[in-house]
Amino acid sequence: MFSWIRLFAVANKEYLELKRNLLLFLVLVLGPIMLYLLEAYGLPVDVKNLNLGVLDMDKSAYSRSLQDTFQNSNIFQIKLIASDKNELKKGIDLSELRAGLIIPHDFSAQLKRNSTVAIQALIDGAYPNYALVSEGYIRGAVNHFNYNLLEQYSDRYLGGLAKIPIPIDIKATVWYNPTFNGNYFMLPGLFGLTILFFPAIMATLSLTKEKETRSILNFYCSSITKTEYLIGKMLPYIMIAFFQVMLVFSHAVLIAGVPMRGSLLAFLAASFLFSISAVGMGLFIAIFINSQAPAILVTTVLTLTLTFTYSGIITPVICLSEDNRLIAYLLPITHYIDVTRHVMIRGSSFADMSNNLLALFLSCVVFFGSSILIFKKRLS
Amino acid sequence: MISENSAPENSNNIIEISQVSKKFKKIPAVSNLSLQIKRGEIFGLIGPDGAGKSTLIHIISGILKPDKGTVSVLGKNVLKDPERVKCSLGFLPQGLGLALAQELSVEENINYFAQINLVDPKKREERKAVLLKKTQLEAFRDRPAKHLSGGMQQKLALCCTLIHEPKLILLDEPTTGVDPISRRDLWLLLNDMVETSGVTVFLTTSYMDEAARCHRVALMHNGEILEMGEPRDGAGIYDLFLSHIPGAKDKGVNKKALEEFFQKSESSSRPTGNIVIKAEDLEKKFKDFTAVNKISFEVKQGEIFGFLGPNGAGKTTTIKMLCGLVPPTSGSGTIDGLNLSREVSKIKKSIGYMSQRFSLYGNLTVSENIELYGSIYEVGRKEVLRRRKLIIQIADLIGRENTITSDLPLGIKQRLALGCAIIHKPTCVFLDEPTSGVDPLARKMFWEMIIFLSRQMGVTVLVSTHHLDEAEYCDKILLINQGNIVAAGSAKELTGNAQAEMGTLLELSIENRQNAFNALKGAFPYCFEYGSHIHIYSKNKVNDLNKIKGLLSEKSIGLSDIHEQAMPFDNVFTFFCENQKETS
Repeated sequence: MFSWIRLFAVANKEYLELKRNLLLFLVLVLGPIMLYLLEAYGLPVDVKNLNLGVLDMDKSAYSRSLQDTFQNSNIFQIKLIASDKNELKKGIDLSELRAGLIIPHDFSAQLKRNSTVAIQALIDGAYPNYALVSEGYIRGAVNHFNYNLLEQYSDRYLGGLAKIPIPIDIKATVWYNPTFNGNYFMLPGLFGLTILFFPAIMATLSLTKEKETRSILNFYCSSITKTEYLIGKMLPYIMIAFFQVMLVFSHAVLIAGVPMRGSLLAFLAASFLFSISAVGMGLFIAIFINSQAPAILVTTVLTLTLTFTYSGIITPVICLSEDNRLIAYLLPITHYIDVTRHVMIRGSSFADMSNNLLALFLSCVVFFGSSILIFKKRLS
Repeated sequence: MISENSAPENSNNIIEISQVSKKFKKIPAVSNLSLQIKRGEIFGLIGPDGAGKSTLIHIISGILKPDKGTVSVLGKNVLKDPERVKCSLGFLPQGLGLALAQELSVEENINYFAQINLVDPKKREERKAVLLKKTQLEAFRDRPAKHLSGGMQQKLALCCTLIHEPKLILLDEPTTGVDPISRRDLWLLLNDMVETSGVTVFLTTSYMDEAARCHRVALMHNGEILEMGEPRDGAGIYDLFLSHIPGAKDKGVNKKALEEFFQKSESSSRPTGNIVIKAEDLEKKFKDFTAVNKISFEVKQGEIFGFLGPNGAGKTTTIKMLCGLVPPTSGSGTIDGLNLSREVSKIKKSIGYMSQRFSLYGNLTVSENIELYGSIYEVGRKEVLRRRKLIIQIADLIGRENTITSDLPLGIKQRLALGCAIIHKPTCVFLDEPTSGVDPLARKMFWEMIIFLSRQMGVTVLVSTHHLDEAEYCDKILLINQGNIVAAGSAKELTGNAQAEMGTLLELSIENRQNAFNALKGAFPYCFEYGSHIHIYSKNKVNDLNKIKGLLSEKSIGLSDIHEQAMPFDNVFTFFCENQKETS
């Protein structure tokens, strides 16, 4: 009884209606692109140029040398040379400084006396991510400074007779993204958000609108089957979602310089499956909700919050707790972001990604299958 | 195709309903109802709001499951397998333009309906051409549905439901909100379809004059059919309606409460005869489209002034200009002596306005709506509470003060809306199609309120309507078409003028109606099918009677009755509107 003619008639009608509602069409097409660009250029992922304040009570060659160590990194920039403790405190309180360094007045004197001297680091813990990076870097910088001092001691006291060896030296080789380019991580992650948010909402709206105006009675009373109607109605949104991810993909590769190292086929397959899955999610929500406003809210909450919390778009999934990781892998978007990042940055092959692709495929089947099963051609 | 049930093909009954019941939250909507509809019949279902008419149509169409009983349509059990019936069904849901995709053009809409019903493209083109011609929509093929008038939208919707040649069409209030001319065209199309393709029509309506055009009518109330039979005329059905609905006759508006409400009002104490509303060459243009073309009129204090005209005639625009909601392009006017262009804020305080679609907040309760309007019009808190009590009495809403407004039937909502529009005791009220879609009983009460406001309280009322039977309540009528005044006067004067041009109306009762109509229609300029009768306008009664008898006996068709009939006001209306078209 299934008829392609009816399915395409529904799809064509939905597309024409959408296209002629110019404002809605522009929002739908440009919205996700805007969202992507805003996030791509606005969301800070790299920790660099953190503002540092220094209270140097010693003002010696040693203390200046320590300051230089910080100044020369691109993690910190010295924003303030404080004249007293209060000035430093105020800087941190007003959030102008992420960290403050207090070098005591006997800093060089103690070093010359060969005894240990304590310097104080004040770190703004309000943003734990930054605090962790700051602390780590301050420790690293001071270690580096210590090692230089030890070398000088050995020169001075042992006359260079016996070089003190460094017990362990790390030779780090960073794979995939040696320059720590934040775009490599962020942009492939944003593809998922681009597809998910707007198309899901539009799919929800297209069905709830018909329910709200009761024009859905036309369908109830026609010989169109549920499968034809629901798939036909969603088809334009799936195509638009896929088209959009191709646009942002082009931006990432051609303009932002993100490499595409792995299987293009895997990427395209995942993008297409995820377009279906995202629209399917919107459809699934619309099956249960009968009016537009609550449908928009529910879809927004489910797409945006779940995505930002669990999908790995900001915090990698491996960093989540075990329970949360389970939730993460129940979400189709997690699998999609896995594919985009692995394929583009790690150069993964189609076979490497087969589990993720299977998961995406299953999500399409679940969303559309259950929607078609639960939806009834009857008034409730 | 599926045709395992061969027996019913011989049966004459297209719809068989037996002992069907349906309850919503324990409130019965349809109770133990049985009904048979014959092949080729136009069957009309009338009844007040909430009688269960839509519920019954939904059950027949297979989209609502009854609690009890059986329904078979075209010989197939609808309850067991609704999908098998749907391919031979055409259904038009309630609500203007609801069946159409508003962004799609006329042609695209028809094509869509053809595609989803798997109509062969070649056949589709043939049928489309016929339907577009019959509905006079040919010229608008490429126009988006949203830019069609309400009447044209419903004509298009009917084309869409007919494109796959259904055997049965179900129409849920197809003409609500549609102007009389478009309604007449819709009926011509329906009659034509029944004759040429043998389709059976099941419809609900709130227009009594339309019920008279059906072959058979049933009156439904509280989920039951009270009366069924061949209709005579609109007025007869209306009386039937009132006599069968319990309490309808003595149910009237609460006059005591109304009197108390307007007790201290100035308008009642002022001398009548003053001109309250005055329009001089009022004109409104939207880009290069003239919505209202320099119209002038005067309304005296206490008058009920009726605005009649097709959809898009400029009624709403004129009312909006007079209320100060839309600035006129040119021309001037005064309301209660206040200048329309300079004293708009003062005008707004002295008038009451009830808009076409929206005047109450659906999510607020009855009391909250009244209080809201009270504070909008700056009626003091204490006074609002006093008037609220009275308005609730006037609108017959005692016990429903805390009901959410959207849960009320339309007729009651409109009474409440009128109550809200007079909370500040305005000197005149503007009502824009207040009774569109409202059942006769609720309309009767609504008009009692209006008449009382005007006669006893001296309030000036300007009202627009599509219900032509309401014209007789108006002291003066202004007929507007395409932004121009085409006729003005009392209902009696207008009828007289039209009759002078068209002749007297002869109503013919004939067994073999269709053949008779075919024989007669060429011989007279005004000859229509009207329900189970034929209407002919005659200027020379004696000659025409002989002519009719001669034509009929030529075809050996027997005439059972012929008599003179008062001219229905919808014919008066169409006469003036079409006369204008010819002259312009």
